[in-house]
Amino acid sequence: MRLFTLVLICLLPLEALSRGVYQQPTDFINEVFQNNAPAAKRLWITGERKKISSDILGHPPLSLRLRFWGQGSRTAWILEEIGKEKPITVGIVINKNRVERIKVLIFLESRGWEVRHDFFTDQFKHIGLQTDTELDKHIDGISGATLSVRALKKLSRLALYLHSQTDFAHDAP
Amino acid sequence: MTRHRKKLKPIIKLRSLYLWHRYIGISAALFLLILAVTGLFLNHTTELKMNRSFISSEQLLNWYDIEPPQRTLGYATNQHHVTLVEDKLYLDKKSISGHFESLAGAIEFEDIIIIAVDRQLLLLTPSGDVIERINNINGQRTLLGAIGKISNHIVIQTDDFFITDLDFSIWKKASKQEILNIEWSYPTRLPNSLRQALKHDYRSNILTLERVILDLHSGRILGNIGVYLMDAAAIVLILLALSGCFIWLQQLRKRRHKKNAT
Repeated sequence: MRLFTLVLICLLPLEALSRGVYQQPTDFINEVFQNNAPAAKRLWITGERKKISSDILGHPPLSLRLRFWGQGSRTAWILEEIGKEKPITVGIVINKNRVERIKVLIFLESRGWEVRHDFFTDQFKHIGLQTDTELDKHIDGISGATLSVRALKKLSRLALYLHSQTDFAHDAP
Repeated sequence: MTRHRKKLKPIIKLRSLYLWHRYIGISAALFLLILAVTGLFLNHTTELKMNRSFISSEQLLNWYDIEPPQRTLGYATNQHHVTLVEDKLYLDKKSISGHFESLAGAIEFEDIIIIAVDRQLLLLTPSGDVIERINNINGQRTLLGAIGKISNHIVIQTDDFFITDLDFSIWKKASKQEILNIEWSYPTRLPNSLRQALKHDYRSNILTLERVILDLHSGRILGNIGVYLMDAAAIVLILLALSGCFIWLQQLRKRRHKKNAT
């Protein structure tokens, strides 16, 4: 029976095991603010913000309003972007206008799940935004995960831009 | 006499070949035009956005046997209709971006339309713009079963009944008494005109212009007969090229003979 189970596990495609919910967004927010999360605030993505967000994403934002959590010079965002066909949910923390942390929370695509590993997400640490809303540091891609890598780069740019639009950006030196 | 006969024979052959070449050319012209024009378009499908342009002609949709949607589920709010047609969601006649699997209900609350679909609540303006997507029901991303109203609050059913307000940040479990007083959103029958419009819109977003041009190019638009017809056209074009080359060679040989004779 044990042998049968082992064989069955080996037969399961690796991708199937790698897809799913890695962390609930609420748990991510609680972890970021050490179980003392501030009340969620909302940012309207209209007018100039909508235009710049559309330029970053390559399509109009999925909604007119986004929720975020802010404290001191930090903001935390739960953002979604389609990788190839399905949404990738990412938690991003911005501190003093730079990325403090980025984590893939939900991944439903069949390919490109490698972007959830620390060896990839660590590249985003301390990254900022240039004046043309591009990242100020190069991010190495992963072969076979081009679309997921692209989605994460877009979301980090969007989070950095949106952070700059909040009151929490002005607290940064 | 014999010499005269020898001279005449090749001229008659050439003339009949000219005639054949002409007939083949005329009969192939239409197919050549179709192939060339569709080929030109196919070389630039991305630039011309042909893969994103959809055919809405009823005749063409019927020709392709594109069937009307099988699954249509609708909910009525105070002033609007929310409908799931297969995997497409509509507010009245406006399509909402995304693919959806299950629609659990829709309510209207202070000029905002709240739709419970899959694992999220969609907050829409009356014109159909998405204000916000709420993916978090009491801290969980869970499948929604139903949506309703109780006094000034919103009720969501997942594995339990949760009460919240338009802020969607505080969730409270509903008591047994509260559950009894919930005004649930129930499926309703769509008005006929709306049902027809949505069916047409759904069908009009399946067949791309690229597909039609590709099928015209290969002849598949007429089924197997069309493919054989295009095969025949290709053979005719090959014959045209060969007969053209042959005529040109004959002319060349004739000119050389004349040159040598002078």
